Amino acid sequence: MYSFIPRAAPIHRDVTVQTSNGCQYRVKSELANQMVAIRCLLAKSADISVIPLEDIDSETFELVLKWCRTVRDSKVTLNEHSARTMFKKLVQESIDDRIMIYKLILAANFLDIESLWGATTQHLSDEINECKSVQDMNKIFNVK
Amino acid sequence: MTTETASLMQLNDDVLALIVRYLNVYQQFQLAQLHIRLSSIVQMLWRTRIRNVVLEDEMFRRSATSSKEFLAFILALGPFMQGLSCHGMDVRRLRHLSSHTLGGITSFEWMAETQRRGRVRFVDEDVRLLRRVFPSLRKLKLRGCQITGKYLCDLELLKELSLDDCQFLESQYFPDIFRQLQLRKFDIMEDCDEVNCCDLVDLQLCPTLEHIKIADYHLCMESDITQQLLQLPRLHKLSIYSRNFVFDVLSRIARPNNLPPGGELRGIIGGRQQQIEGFRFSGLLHDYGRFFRELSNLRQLQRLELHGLLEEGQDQLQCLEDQALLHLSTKLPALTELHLCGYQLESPAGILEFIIHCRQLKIVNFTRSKCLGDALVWRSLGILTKQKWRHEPIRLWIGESDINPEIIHSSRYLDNERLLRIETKRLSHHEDYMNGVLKFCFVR
Repeated sequence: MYSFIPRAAPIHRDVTVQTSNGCQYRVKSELANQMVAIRCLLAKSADISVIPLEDIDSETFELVLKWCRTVRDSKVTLNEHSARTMFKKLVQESIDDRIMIYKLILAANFLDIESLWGATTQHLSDEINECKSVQDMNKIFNVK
Repeated sequence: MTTETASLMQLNDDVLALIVRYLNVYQQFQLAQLHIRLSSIVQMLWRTRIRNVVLEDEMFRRSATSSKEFLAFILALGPFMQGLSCHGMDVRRLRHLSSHTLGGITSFEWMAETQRRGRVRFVDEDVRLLRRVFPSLRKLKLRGCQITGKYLCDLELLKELSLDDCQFLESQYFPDIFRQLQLRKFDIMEDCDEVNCCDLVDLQLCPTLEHIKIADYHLCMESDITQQLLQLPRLHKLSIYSRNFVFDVLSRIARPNNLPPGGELRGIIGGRQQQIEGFRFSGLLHDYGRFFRELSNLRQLQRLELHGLLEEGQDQLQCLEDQALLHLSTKLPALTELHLCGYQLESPAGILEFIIHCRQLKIVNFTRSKCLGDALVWRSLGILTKQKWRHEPIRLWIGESDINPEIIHSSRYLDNERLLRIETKRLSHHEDYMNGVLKFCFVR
């Protein structure tokens, strides 16, 4: 089960973020609280008005928000199995490009959203698991 | 899904490490072949996390792993492993290692799939291979192998040997095994029908044995090897699996001089049963009166653990009568732990007699048992209040019993916590609690 590690105090107000391509988003506190990096940032500088996300574009951030809303609205306990199922559904509905999955992983890593980087890395390792040979892995994941 | 410019290597090392950790050890090896960063990540993971590896046939069958690839994998993994367990593997893969040495491996398990027809089996020559490939082997478990036992005595450093479902063992090789090896643990408990008790008489040739697991037919044949077993100087645990001869086995251990039940032992030895400090049994019995009469010979018993089972098709717990428990309670003055799990007691009186007679009693485990609910707690407190000589509370474990767990919030209980401490948590059935096994623990 994913544990809530309160490395910084919870946020009680909505926050504004700006993505790498200049788009601003007003994020509700219950979604922002899933992003530990933002909580830590606000713990250090409470008066910051717009939080820059230099390495995350708007398309990626919208998917991050979609994930956070799904977690917030989920009626089941979030664990490895349920997160895997939820992420598969997200991929089917909204992602048609492996590049986007990589961007999502990096965004989850940067924003420190435990549930999302757990689900995305699990998803990728499931895909690696499907490969029958090293050649398959290389072809699908374009390693070399 | 379009992947034209997408590459796994866009991800940072932390993320890649997390992905790698979800994969099995062979997939990690495969991935490591693709890029130096991945190789470095896998090496770091193996260095810090790999000690005991389980290999399953499925890992290699899926990717049609060649012998060359398998060998490269094992040699890469070898320096990091201490224990290797092979489940359902084709023994021909193991034979690929024949001219190599993996000195770091001290524990090896070969768990064959016995149901699989047409499979090449692990045979005597493969034991010789183990000696060459794993020269530091200290612990060996073989299941479903077609070995006679001929070369087991050559595994000079072996301390623990477990043979399961090895139906071709030959008795002529056991004297050498016990004479030449300094075994601490020997386990032949299941499915070795070809080995009769006369053969195991040579167990006495191995004075280093501390833990023995055998079946009842090893004990209860024409030549009784009970005395030889009990005289092993370092014996600490003796586990005997018995489906149909529980009373016979118990009487041989509890009364090795064939005294009648409850008879006094005079003179010097034979007193190994005097040194039995723990006894555990999990299974179905139809005469607990007789069972307890035999147990009453274990006068030095400190720990008694009994787990009842439901009969097939029945939903009623086996019943323990007060009279039988009363008799037993007067015979075990040294008892510190009483575990009666999964039984229906006639009344609380049985357990109360132990509290009265066993002055050293510290734990009463009532998990999964039933006996008129909370009355047991209140009557226990009534007795304990009068036992002024007790300095520690008795711990009462009541998980899944018919005692209401809310009792721990009652003021009457809270006022007397210095006498009785109740534990409500569910205690899981330990995986070692195999049904039908009588386990004796001896004082060291």
